Amino acid sequence: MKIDLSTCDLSTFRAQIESFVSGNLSSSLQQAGRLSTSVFCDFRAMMEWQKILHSNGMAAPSWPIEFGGCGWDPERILVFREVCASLDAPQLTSMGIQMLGPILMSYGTDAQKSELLPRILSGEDFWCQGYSEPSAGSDLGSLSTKAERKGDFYVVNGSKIWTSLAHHSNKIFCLVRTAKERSPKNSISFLLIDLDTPGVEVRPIVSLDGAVEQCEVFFTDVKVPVQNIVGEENDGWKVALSLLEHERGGASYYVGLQRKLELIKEFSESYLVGNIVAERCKDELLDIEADVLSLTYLERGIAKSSEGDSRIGALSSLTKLIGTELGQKLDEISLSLRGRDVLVVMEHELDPYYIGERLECDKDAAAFNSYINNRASTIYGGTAEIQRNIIAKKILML
Amino acid sequence: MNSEERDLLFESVNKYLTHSYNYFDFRLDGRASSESVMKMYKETCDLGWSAFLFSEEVGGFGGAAVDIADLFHKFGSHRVVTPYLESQITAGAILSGIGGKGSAVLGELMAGNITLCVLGSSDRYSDSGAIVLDLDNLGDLVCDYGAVPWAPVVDKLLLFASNKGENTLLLVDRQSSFVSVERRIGVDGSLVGRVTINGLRRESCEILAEGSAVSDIVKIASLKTSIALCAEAVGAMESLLRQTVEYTKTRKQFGQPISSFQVLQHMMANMFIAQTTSSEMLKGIASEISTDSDYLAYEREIMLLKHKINKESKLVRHSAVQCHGGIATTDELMIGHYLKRLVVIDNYFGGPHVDMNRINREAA
Repeated sequence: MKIDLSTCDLSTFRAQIESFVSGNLSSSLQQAGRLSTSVFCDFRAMMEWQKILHSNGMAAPSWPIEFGGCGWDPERILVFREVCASLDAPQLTSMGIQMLGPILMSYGTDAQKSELLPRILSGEDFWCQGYSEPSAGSDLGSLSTKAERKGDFYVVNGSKIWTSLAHHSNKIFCLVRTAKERSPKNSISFLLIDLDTPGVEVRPIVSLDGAVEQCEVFFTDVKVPVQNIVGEENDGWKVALSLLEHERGGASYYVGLQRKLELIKEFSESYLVGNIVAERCKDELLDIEADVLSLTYLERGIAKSSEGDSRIGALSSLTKLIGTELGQKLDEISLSLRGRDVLVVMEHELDPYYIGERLECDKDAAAFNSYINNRASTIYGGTAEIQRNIIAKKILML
Repeated sequence: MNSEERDLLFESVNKYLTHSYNYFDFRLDGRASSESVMKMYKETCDLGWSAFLFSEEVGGFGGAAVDIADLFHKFGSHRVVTPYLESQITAGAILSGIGGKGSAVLGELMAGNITLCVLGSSDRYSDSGAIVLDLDNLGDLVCDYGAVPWAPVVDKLLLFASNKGENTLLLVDRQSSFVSVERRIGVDGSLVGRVTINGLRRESCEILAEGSAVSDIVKIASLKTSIALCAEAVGAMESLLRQTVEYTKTRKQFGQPISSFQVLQHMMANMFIAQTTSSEMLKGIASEISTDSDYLAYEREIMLLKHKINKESKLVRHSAVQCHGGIATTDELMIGHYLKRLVVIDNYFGGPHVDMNRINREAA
């Protein structure tokens, strides 16, 4: 008899997911998960894993069944994420499945839903997010990329920056200004743009670790069909922000942090036996373990709480803040545990498909790159300072 | 107890603490006497607050970790001065763990007729160590226990001893001639005794339990105590945050409420993060513990919880003082009194460094 994953008890569910994930993860895919140095792991591995998940109907556990998701409850979604993290499965990118998908479900036309959602799941479309601009970062509402209505088209001019993985993407969802009013609440629209439209140019930005994750995207007289707007014209601000308030299953920073903590402990206990730095780090790791445990209970609690909790949006600021700051602390510890080996620029050591000898000192090879890349984690998606502002205003009513 | 009865009990707790309790009337470093505190203690036992802390097996009607946590959360937010922790939780947990010979004393304790406290090691930084002795050859045993909360008023003392290498729990009268208790006032408004035992006599001790089970009984008692302490701290942190937010909205400087300054907003956001993560961790762990053996299974989590709360309570209490300015350092405002109690909670069981060491050593 086939087990119904939506209704079986949680321990059966966990066992089923464990056996599925461990049975389908190749060692290269596991390497990719373990060697990941930011929220984005090796692109090829990530897409390979998405295909496997998709062919088993598990690419989007949190989506409703009618759109090709699993329709699981928040508890199951968290267990799914826990299992994937504990087995070092590559993390899928959030732009399509986590961000655009739910937006389309709430605000998209039937045509948009039926055309675009399946292509997100299959990986045929790979989306990037066009929010930030050179002069509109934390102050996103001041963005200036313009979309002027001309007949059946919008003509888009301007540029976007910090567009993650745009160089791998074929599509971008953008916030663009469609009216002159200064308030973002009634002058911004949410627009879907094909990156192969004439007038679009993607320029990669090389990060401190030598890799490309971020890009700039320039728009010069780019013609976009009017049916590519999501929601009403000038109502895009609401569309963009609604994601936070409606995201079911909540965030789950604890999942990745637990695994990261485990790997660091494993590294320090098996590889650095008796090492003085490892001894000194013991208390620091315990301290973080307590923090990660508290975040675990917090995020589980939020996931279980009702959708109607008006603070959900603001609480996601809380978990984002805690999750990213804890990740940075863990990076600092793993950096100090590497000692002099931190000096070496890691190349093939971080390639999950590399076949060849790996040295003993290649263990925890991701430490340095992870450390520098995650300095960005308290900047992107709303800086740590912006998140504190939100807590002060929305929760403490200051 | 069903949830309706539970709600009723907490309604009574809230009502009592809001209308009949005020820290300034009960703090022993003020005008209050220990008699008034003990009278309140007895009254609240009669209201069922005590039985609520024990399982039905031993004649109570509660006793899950969430029950303990919820009551002590209230104690924390109202800054209640009471020997509940030492008597009902620590000694109570030991007596209910022992069963048999402990039952009669436990019955009296739950009825609020007597109070007890537990004496473990004389080491100021340890909780689980037992005093080493040989009951058949006590000689001139002298033991200086240092500060013991509520020792001057308790009726009985529970001694955790190692008798010829075997863990033993002894019951003695506080008023025995070999027990001397120097009465002092606690920095947190409580009553403290500096306890010395000098010339313990075999015939004056009743052996309540001995053997291998004793160390688990003592460990469970200390874990229960930790849950109660953590909950009290979380309650205090909540009050500190609430009062700080309220104060900064009314206090004006440079022509505007100081709550409009971003530096203070971020300080209070950090207080919120500290308080919320502590509170969620406590709730999460407590909700998974219902039996005594659950406490042992969750030992590591409880120790991490105590560590977490010690760390976060420091941030909350220091920020609360900072946001209030000079007035927080006066005796008039509650802020400083929460602060004092939180320091005491930090140092319960030997303090933060001991907690850390204990997780590394025992619960690895």
